[in-house]
Amino acid sequence: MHDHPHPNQPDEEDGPFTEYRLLEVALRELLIEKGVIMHAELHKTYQMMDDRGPHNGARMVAKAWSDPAYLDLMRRDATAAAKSIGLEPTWLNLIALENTDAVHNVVVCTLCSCYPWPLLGLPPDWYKSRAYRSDVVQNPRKVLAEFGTTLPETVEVRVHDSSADMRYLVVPKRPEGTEGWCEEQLAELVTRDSMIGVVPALTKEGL
Amino acid sequence: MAHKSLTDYRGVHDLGGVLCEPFAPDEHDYAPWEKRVHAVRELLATKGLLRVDELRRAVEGLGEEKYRRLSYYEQWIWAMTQIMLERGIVTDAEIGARVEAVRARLASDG
Repeated sequence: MHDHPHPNQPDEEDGPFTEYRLLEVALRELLIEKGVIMHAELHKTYQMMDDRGPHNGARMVAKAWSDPAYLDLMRRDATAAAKSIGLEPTWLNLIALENTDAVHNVVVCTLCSCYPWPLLGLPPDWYKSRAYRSDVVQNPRKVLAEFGTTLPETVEVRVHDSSADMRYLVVPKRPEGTEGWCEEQLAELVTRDSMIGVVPALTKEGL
Repeated sequence: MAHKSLTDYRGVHDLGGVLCEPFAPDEHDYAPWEKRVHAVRELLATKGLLRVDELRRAVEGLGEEKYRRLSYYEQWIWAMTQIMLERGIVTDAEIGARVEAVRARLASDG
């Protein structure tokens, strides 16, 4: 099931064997035969990749919304905050960016595709696209509008450029009318795109 | 005065603020082969055999035409292979022979 717009690259199950796909098989086989990597390690990596996704980042955001001490830790050391709830990215230098009534944060990697993937999974194509990387720093409001996000002129938009050594996680504003919700309920409001900063969190009605 | 191309003054990858294409927020579900490329890269990185800046340097060395034409994981597998060659972990001859062997195997599998 796909709920996203028509892709540039098809949702195909492997598709035809291109030269680059042949190269993928060739390099992987050689690395395994030479003992550089092992089958078991590779399968463990596939499993780790499957466990990653926006549900991890959403847990952090929901906890930050609920627990002032955790929000404080996220502000000071987001890597430690991830680690403290058992999330994987101990190696990642993570900065949490809090959206407020005055400031809206959005994340890009202008040079390539750096992204907090242990917390959000693999990035969507558009995040890696030439157009996003180029345009969001030049005209962020126009790009946000493509996602249906329009912000009042009084809100300052800050664009953060990721690097190999530094990744960002946006903490969207907590939606109104969610007082008394538990962390699990709140986490359902926190989408991948809201943690990149291109949309707000879902509303109670939008769930 | 002749119009300067992107690479006249900055790297082909260095796209911040260079308005070039209309933006559309599309995406696709990653194919299994793309996930395999990602997993092998990650494993090589954890073993200290492939740094992320090294991979990017190789991707940036693709040249403008290929940089634009190749898909993301096509860029990655090409760049990963370059780094493995540079580090002497595999040789050109081994890669070439294995690509042909895989091609033949797939052809005989029909």
